[in-house]
Amino acid sequence: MNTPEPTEYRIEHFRDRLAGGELAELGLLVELRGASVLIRGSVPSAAYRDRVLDLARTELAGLAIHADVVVAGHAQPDRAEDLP
Amino acid sequence: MIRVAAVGDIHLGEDSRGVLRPAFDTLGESADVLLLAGDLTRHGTVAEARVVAEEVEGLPVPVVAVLGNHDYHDDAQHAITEVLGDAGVEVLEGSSVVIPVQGTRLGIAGTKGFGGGFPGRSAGEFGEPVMKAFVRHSRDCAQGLERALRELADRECTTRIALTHFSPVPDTLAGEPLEIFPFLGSYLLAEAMDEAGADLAVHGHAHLGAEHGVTPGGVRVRNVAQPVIGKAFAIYHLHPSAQKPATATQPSPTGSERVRT
Repeated sequence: MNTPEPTEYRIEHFRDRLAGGELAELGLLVELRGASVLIRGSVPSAAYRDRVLDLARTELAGLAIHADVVVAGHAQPDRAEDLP
Repeated sequence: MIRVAAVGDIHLGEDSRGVLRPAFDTLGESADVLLLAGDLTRHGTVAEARVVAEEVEGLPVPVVAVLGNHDYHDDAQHAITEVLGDAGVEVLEGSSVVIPVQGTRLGIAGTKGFGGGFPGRSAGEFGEPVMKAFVRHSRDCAQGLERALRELADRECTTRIALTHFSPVPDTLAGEPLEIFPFLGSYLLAEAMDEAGADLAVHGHAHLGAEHGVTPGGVRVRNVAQPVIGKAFAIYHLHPSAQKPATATQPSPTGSERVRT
């Protein structure tokens, strides 16, 4: 009888795909939270985020995914930090 | 006052052309130098390095960089260094550069650095060859940084900055999973900074980390990974030490003096 692959291993395989594929993404937190998978962090663009979440839906099919992935800002800062 | 702009982990791919240039074009108004704290490319390819070069070529301020682990991924780190160098970027690895700023001498020492962890929880140079090589690489990077910082002191720089990709302290890793701290930095970098002296340490690599930290010896540390600062760059205002007055020197034609150690 085949048993389902443990979710922990599926998450690691997803992380391998993130790092080793076209995205080369190592900076996102991906972890099991209860019965769901949390994906959290910052990415360079909205299109890049879509690709991350598309991959997640494929690799983690059947699991609930909670995504909190923000797009990094590219504007110049409006303040400086003074270091006396 | 010396105005330092810094950012790391910009991770530019071939589809990223022009993303940061509009913000970088404003640097002449707000900064005297731009520091790039590694992971400039996504996969470490020469094509991506050309995108980085186009983003920073011809900016109104000198650009000084170290490479990060992503920039090594395609084994093209030497070619990437050359592409960036052709665009006027000073790429440091166990080396330093002096930039005259408003009558003072700003020294920047740089290395990629490496992992290994932090006091009480760090890896040792023991056991399998690959484990010893791991720790030895981290030690080599830290020793190169210490030598470069000492040279900047000898060259009477009034302000010295240590530029790395990996973190010297755990403070700026706050927010990252504790289990991966040994892959995010090494105390050997902080020890090098504390031994040789520095006014500021700038690093990247920890996307989920925090901006502010300090070494055990009191050197202020800033994690400028772009996901952390949330902007195209951060700006820090430094005030040259009165104890180390600048000496009058003739700048090189490029405005900077480089030393490789």
